[in-house]
Amino acid sequence: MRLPRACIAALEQIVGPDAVQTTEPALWVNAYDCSLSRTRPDVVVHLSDAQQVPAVVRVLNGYHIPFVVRASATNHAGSCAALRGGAILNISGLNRILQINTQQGFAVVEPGVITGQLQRELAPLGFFYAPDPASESVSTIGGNLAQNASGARCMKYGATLDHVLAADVVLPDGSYLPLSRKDNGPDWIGLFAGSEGTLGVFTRLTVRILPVPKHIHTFLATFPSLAACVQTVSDLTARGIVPRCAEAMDQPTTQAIEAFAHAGYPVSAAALLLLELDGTPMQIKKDTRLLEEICKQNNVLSFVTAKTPQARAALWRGRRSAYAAMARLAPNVMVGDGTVPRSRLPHALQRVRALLNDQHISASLLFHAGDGNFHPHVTFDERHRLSAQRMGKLVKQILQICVEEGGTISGEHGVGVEKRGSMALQYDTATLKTMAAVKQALDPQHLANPLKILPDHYAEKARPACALRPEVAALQAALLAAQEPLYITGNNSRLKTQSRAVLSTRSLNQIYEIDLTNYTATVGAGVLLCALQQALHKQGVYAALPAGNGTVGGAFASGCCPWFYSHVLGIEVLLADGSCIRYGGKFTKNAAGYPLTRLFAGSHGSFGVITELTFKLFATPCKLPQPRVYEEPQDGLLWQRLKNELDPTGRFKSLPEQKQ
Amino acid sequence: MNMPCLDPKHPKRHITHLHTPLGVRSVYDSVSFCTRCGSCQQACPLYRQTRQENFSPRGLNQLVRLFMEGKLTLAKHGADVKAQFAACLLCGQCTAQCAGRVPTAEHVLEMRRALGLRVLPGSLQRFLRLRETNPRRFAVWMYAGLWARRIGLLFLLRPVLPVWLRRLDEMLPSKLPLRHLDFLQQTTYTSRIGTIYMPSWETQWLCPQQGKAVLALLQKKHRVRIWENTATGLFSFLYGDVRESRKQLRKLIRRHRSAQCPVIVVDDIDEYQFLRNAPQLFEGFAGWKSWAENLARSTRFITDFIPLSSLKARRSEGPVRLLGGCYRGPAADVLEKSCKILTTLFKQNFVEYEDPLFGWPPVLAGLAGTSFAIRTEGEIVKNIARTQTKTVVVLSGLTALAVNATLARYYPAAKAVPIAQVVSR
Repeated sequence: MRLPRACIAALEQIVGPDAVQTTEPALWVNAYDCSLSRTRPDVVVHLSDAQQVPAVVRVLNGYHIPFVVRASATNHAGSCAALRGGAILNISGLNRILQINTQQGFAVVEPGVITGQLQRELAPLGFFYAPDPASESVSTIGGNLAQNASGARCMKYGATLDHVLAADVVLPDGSYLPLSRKDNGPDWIGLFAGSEGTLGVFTRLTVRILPVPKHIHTFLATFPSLAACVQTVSDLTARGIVPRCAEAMDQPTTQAIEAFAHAGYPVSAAALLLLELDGTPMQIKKDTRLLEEICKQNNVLSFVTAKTPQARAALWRGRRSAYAAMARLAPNVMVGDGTVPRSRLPHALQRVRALLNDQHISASLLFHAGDGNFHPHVTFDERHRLSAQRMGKLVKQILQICVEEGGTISGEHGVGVEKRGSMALQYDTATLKTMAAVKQALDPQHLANPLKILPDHYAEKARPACALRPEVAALQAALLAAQEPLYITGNNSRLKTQSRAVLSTRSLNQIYEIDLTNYTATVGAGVLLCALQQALHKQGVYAALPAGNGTVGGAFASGCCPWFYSHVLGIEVLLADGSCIRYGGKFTKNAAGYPLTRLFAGSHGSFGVITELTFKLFATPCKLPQPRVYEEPQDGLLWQRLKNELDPTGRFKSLPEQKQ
Repeated sequence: MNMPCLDPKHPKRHITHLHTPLGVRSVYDSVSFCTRCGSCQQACPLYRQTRQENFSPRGLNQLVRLFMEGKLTLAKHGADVKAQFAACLLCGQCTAQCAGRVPTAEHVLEMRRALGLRVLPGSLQRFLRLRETNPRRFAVWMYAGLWARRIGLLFLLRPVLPVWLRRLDEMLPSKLPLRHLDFLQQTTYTSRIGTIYMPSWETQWLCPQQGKAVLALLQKKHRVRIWENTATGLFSFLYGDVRESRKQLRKLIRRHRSAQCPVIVVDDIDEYQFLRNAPQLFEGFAGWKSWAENLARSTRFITDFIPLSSLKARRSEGPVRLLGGCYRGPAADVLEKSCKILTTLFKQNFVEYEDPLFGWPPVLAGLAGTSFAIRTEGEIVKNIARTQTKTVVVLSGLTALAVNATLARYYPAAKAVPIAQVVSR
């Protein structure tokens, strides 16, 4: 694509002539990230001020030029490749920490701030920023949010999106939107998290910061089998202990790392587990006793405790050098990323290891035992076409295993272009169509990071849709038969409508599953909160939901329990056209596609009828904040655009319209 | 299969294989080991200043690869990349951070050779080249310069002097002894072959006290012989023609062989790395390669002559830190040993890697007035001041002079001292 000279001139006027590059070498060095994708853009624009962003985006929109936002470009998914050419917007220059407020626990940063830099600034103040992707010393906070990155601490503290309180976003048409978690309505920040720059550009972020736990203990335990290793983490969770980190590796990986890093890991065990506990000394002491007991129950082979920072660093040295151990062997290292429900992890890992052995590929296999996320590190040489093709095939096979085991194709690395094709393995046509509709609503010209996330011709490739449960099918029939816009109600405890045009979810009152291995529950949206609590209490588990007369679906969709959004792992929704979408499952990490749970959270039934929810359970009662008072959401740009796209015929009553 | 080459028309101007920290690799293989993970970016002073990918080590590696694969050509795109390849400070911080230990600085040097880039001012280039091509004339100029400085002529001529000479003048202490006068008088000449001390040019001419300290350390247990004013070829390797560098190395190898291959001690970390990597210049030169390997094996840094058991803990006025230098090659062992020495000497007062001080850029880049080098120096001094460091330990005499000059201006509370002087104090 050749850019019009006027466009270049307009860009130069905004950012200065030195900040616009069109020379061939400058374009080629912005053609890649950490993946294998390499596509040359047509212009590189270096931004140094957040105020330049809307103006630059407006110019590009005016000339219909696609753009890709780029900061450190450390992602493994090819999210920074400019597939349709166009402009690269380099936001590395937006790297100022604007405010650190330890009293209220937040920091205001520009998106180009390096995550590690924020950690360094917070450390002397006794605070930390919880998300810790392995690349934190070089990746940016904006990039982390765009990929919804997470790290070893995710099990306890959650992913990046759980720690962003407010975000200023510039949409692909140049309009500027300040978003906040305090706003009523859907979790817009959640929707933008993991969107890989396909929905807009972040220009400012407010992130949550937490006091550093004063006491951290690290433990190294070895087990005779992978199953015993994973079972230990499950048992810990069942006893109400959530470790700060639960990193693990199988025997071949331990051997490879030990040969390189000499970290002192025992190489004879089938599985090795690195666990970290934080809290008060008393609590750690109590938890350590329990941990030792649980480890013994699971036939632990060796158990080492590290209490001092030096000893902890020594234990972590091996795990941290895993990538380096492989990077020295061949020019390329494919860092895979897949997530399965924790109970399926040993089986999934065995299948992946068997696959690698069948193909005579040496690889290390590391996993976050707490959340079922695993990372095969496979070496190859991209200069040899066969080797690269073989690797592409292998990645697809590994992802296929993840999906077959009830997991997702991406836990924390995102989809980008590398896993775009595999999205069809995981989602059916209706779900992919909904994701496409989200993109269409916010970026109708497909200018922001085009051709990412969604596979081409997905309608033909997508997996077949699952059969509907009878009660959902009945609801679908009622929806399609309706002649006028419908209100979605549960137990009518919040909306309290007198209208006759109502679609009630009370028929969806079944608790489908309480999974005590993965600590998840799958329930119909019409299940009453009090009934759910009784059922959970019988099993000795708890959910982060209040008691009351309302339904689970109502608590999720009404916006009264915003803390619950991050506990919801899977969702089933009936859309206006009668199609049924399914997103997520019994796995805690999911970076595959737009986080649809966040779109329907607090949506007041405007975009679809939530029929089923899968959410996290806990072994101990959760301390819940006061539920918000129910209020009608405010009409907004995002709301209107998504409503027009997801429910163009207005089948669902839009509350803001009712207000007018 | 033909290995892609940067400059197929002039293969002799280049090195075919690099001796990387992870083994011998062709330049193409070496550059292909960059997995584009970006771990190097935040370590690179250039990237930290520009925030542009084409100044990052990852970008430079990719550019070299694109040129080798023919996707970019020297004739067409060479001019567009000169700025970034000239700007690289060769500090090697990227290699230290890289999981695959990709030697980006070596790739940059290869690219500079292909582009015919000269990064130093002409007069500085000619002057330092003299040391290799005509050591006697170099010595005469040095004497003349030092005398001119002593009688105040240099001060009077300041307005017409080139920038690098003015900077060098500012860098040097006012009472600079003329070399030999008090330095070589203390040396012991023996007829028996012992250990050979090969002082760097700055030790001979600009900071003879470092030479004294080294000799004091060596003479405790070794018979020492000095090879003064000996060029190794490092300057040509970094800033000139690799063929000239090879020629100098051949001379040194011959001399080393004729002296029955004794141990050679150097006091400059750059010289040490260059000599340890000497065999890479002789890939394809069968006989010379094994002799170069012999030379490399015989080369030692002064820290190898400091037994930890002989050190006693001492008091220091404040925190002591080790300042990195330009580590392109096998410096990890020296760094490790230096840390051990400083820990033994200063116990808790030596702060290791807690708050990393980035490597001081090559002093010649600072002399040339490169803005990137000057800004990097400023960043490091800021770091020294922020951590209230009192003693900055360095691994080369010239770096000590440069750091002290900057510290004297911005943070006089701290002082840079070469490691030999720290130990022999």
